[in-house]
Amino acid sequence: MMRRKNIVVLIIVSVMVSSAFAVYYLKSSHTIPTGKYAAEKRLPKIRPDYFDTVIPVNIAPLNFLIEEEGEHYYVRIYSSKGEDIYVSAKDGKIKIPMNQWKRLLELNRGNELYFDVYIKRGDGEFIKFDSIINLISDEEIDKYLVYRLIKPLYNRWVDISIHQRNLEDYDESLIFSNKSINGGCVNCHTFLKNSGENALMHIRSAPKPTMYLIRGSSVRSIFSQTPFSSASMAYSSWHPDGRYIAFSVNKVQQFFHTSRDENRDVVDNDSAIGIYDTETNTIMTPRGLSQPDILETYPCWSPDGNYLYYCSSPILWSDRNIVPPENYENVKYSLMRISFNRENGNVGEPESILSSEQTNMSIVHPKISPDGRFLLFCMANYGCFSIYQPSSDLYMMDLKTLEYERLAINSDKSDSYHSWSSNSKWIVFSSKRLGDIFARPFLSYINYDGKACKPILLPQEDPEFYDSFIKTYNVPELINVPINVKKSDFERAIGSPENISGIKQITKASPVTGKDPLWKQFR
Amino acid sequence: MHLTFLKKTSVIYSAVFFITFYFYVLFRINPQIIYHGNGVAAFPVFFKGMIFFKNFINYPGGLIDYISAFLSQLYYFPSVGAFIITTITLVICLLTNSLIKSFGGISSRLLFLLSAIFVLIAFNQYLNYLSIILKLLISLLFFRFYLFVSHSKIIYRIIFYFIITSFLYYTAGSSGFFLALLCGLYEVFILRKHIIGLLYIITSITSLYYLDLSILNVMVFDSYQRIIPYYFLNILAPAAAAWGPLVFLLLLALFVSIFNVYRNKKAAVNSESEKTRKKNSISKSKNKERLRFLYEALLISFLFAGAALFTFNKLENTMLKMNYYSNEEKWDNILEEVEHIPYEYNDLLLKHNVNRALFFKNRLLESMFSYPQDVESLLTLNFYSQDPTMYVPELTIVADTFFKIGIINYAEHSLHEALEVVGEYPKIVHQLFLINFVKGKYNAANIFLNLLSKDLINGNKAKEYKNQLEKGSFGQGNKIIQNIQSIKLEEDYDSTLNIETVLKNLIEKSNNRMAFEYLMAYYLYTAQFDKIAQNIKLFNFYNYPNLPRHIEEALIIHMNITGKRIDLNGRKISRETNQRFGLYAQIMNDYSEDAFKGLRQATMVLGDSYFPYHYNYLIREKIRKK
Repeated sequence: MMRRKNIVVLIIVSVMVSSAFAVYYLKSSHTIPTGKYAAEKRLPKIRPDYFDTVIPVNIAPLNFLIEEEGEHYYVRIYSSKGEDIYVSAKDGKIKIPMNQWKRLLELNRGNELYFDVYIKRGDGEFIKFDSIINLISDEEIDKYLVYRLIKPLYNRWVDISIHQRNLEDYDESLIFSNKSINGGCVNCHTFLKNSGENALMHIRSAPKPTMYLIRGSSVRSIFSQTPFSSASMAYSSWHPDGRYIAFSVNKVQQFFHTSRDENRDVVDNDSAIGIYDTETNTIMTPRGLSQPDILETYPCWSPDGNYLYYCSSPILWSDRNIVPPENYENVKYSLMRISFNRENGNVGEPESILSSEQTNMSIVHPKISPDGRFLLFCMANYGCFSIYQPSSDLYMMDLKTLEYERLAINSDKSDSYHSWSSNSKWIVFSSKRLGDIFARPFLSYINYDGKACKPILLPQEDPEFYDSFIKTYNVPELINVPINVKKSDFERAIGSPENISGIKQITKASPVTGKDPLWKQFR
Repeated sequence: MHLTFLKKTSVIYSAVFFITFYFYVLFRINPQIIYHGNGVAAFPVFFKGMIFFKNFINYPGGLIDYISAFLSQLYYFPSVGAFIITTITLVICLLTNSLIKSFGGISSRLLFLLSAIFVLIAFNQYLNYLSIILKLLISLLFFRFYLFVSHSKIIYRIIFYFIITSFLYYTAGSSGFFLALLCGLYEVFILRKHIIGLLYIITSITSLYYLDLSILNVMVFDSYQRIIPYYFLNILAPAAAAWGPLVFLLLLALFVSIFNVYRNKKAAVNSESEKTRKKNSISKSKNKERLRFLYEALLISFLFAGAALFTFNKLENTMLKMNYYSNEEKWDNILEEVEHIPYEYNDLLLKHNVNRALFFKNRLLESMFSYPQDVESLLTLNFYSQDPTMYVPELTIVADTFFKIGIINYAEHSLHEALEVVGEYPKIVHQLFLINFVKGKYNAANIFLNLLSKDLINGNKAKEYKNQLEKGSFGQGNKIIQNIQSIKLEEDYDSTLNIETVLKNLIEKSNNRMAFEYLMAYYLYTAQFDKIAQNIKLFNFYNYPNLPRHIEEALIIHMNITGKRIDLNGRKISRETNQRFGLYAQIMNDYSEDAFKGLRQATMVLGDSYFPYHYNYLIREKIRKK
């Protein structure tokens, strides 16, 4: 009897304590100070920097950290329509409820979004800061972002993985890890028309240079080593018809500086461009894209498929095996294009779009907006590897006028690898502005005239996520249909690789066979 | 009565056994040196917070790996580390005892302690087996749970079996497989449900495959390699050590089962005559049991002693200690410990550590040739290697040397290689924080510091640094950082590091005594005496009271070879050096026909001087030229 009584008392006490906690929680999370508060005539310090910009209507909640002295923090989020959102936190970490956020943004496409930040100080006084104002874009950003996560790599790669992040929430899934191929280097991934339905991933080194060709939910593994190149297919671009993939083969050489801020440097001792035909599993090696004394790289098809844009530079060294080669700091790439006949696969003559002589800088990573209006590219002091160049900035070219300008969103650190959303309204790019040696993905809205709005850092559920994250975001690519290949299918593909069926020579040179075939011998 | 006595005695024996086990782990194995091993020994890192935890929930066995990673951090406190290992071993032994009983039991009181010996052998290898051992423990525990339902209806047993193996497979990876085998054996031998037993064993493989592909979406390769301690498989001894406890327990279950099948058959045949015989032989049985107990106790004690004597990896123990001392800058301990290593043991890192210790004890140019030497060990550059299995600690230790000598970028390079290969070890993260701070990359420095603040052991130190950084006082009172900032290499070279060029550049630009001594050591290694002579005035600049012994030895050789006098800036070559050179010259004369014999003689007579090294150098040069 006594025991039963004790249990009843225990239950009652537990219920009361839980209720007290619940009431406290509800009170603290939904109460914004009404009545007296001192107005602080400035914006609050928050991190990440989420103000005065345009945000995608379908982006995940922009959780942030308030970096002001205080005992308790309150935020009211509102726009012209819909219910206000109230969030509070003792530690300043503002985590916005997902569903309310989505409703609010959806109702307010094209409207301003306000964050009112209140702080309760130690003396009990409340302070309200000026409202943080952002504009909700009417245009959506592609739902997924695919990127490679790596630590700052030098000579060894043990943990390289490609991930797919849902931008509408915080879900991140692993697409592929190099651990399943015993530590090979997993590199570039490119998509046909921003869709994970058709994708290409390339694997350098172990066990052999390979590419994964994804079509729908199936994947093929193809050894990309041919007499054209002992190296793997590196930077690639899908022809809009989905049949051809232009790719570069690069004799990539890494070397190190003894006292520069960025230790690492990369030079292509040689490079060329080929075109892979996915239907016939063959390679074409057009002469104009693989000239003996020219470095050709970074292919990018125009959205109409009639031109292939790329970067090129004369080779300034006689010995292509020395690392680093002589004059490597004088290598400056120009922006070129070449016409393409989709019927027979023939190409025209190279034509210069923007010469390095004009810019006195090196142009790399040309990316054309899917609507064909703009060309976004990087320029750095020299070379082909912009991620290691603090001088690398993003530039936008209007393809109608061929005029270009440096975007205002650049920083004093490397701003490089970028890609477009399928509606040509958003770009994502890697920047080292917040991490020095760690690149982070930033999203930026592109206006009708090609101007980029202040970029926002890819939001994370924990606003302090990046503070201790020692991996770098590489090759961010926006897609609207996710990659839907199971890891076990990748595994099966590894187990049954195919070889390239043949090479269609458009050059007049004869193929050279040997132990270490190189394209330079071939052409 | 005698049973109670034996029971008591076995409890006392077991208690003594585990107390001995604890002290063995504490003093002989010493978990602390595994903690400080810079990632050698498959030692896991652990950080507070959900971000780190999330890494463990996406693969089978992750949760136990997470717990193991947490517990492993406590190796930092050796007594706690030893306690953890001992407690886990004790529980495994108790569960082994229960396993024996569940399979019919045998008349042995101490057999279960064999599990502890297998665990001991594993830890003697200096690889961190905690995760494997924990997984073993949890599978034995779940087998106990299975025994609770062993008398239920078949259908309930099967359902329960699939639930616990799936759960176990997710939380403890390989344990799901191990548990399936135990349950299978139990069904076959004890419950005589052969079909169910075989079903368990077969489905243990197929159901894992299904779980992998359909639910966990992991690669089959990824998943199955976790069933076994795969990462040790390429090295025989550690692999055997990892498999030992698992195989032992399976064989034990099998053995007990078969033994009981045989015993029961025999008992059925002789049941009547056995009863009569038993009555008559109670007193004989008492003595027999005591005697058997004594034999068992002796056997276990011998096995324990044998395992301690013959499976202990002494060399690894010493190397880990050396690295620990080097990391902690306990230079005297290094010079003391190196005395216990065979002279012939050829390890670059060992030599590198000795040179570091000698430099920081102001003895590098005095007595470096009292120890085995190799020019490659001065500033090893093995981080250029792409081999991920390369001995890792050298990356962090060499990085520290690069840092202290002022070649910051190479320190950074080396540490990033270590970071990639072994992970975010506190020492690596801490060094990368310092390097980025010195380079003025404050964002990166903060990121490393924030990560370090999540470390269980170093978190508070990191928070202290953060406070200092916020106040702007970090580095102000820190002599090492101030020194590095003043001596660091400013000249940019973009080709492979040439030690001589870089060291020369370092001493030209600043007051860098370490670079100076390492440059002189480099000239000693390469017998470039003229260059030592050219730098003689720097011994005054760096306030050396006398010319270091090896420098004297080099100069006297040089003067005798060239016949030229060297301006020693008012210094003199000591009488002892002159005398030793006399002996050296005599040996060279005496053994001009047999250089190798001469080298042996020089080593014997002038062992701790530069002369034997020089003799050897001359021989090598002669061979090379031929």
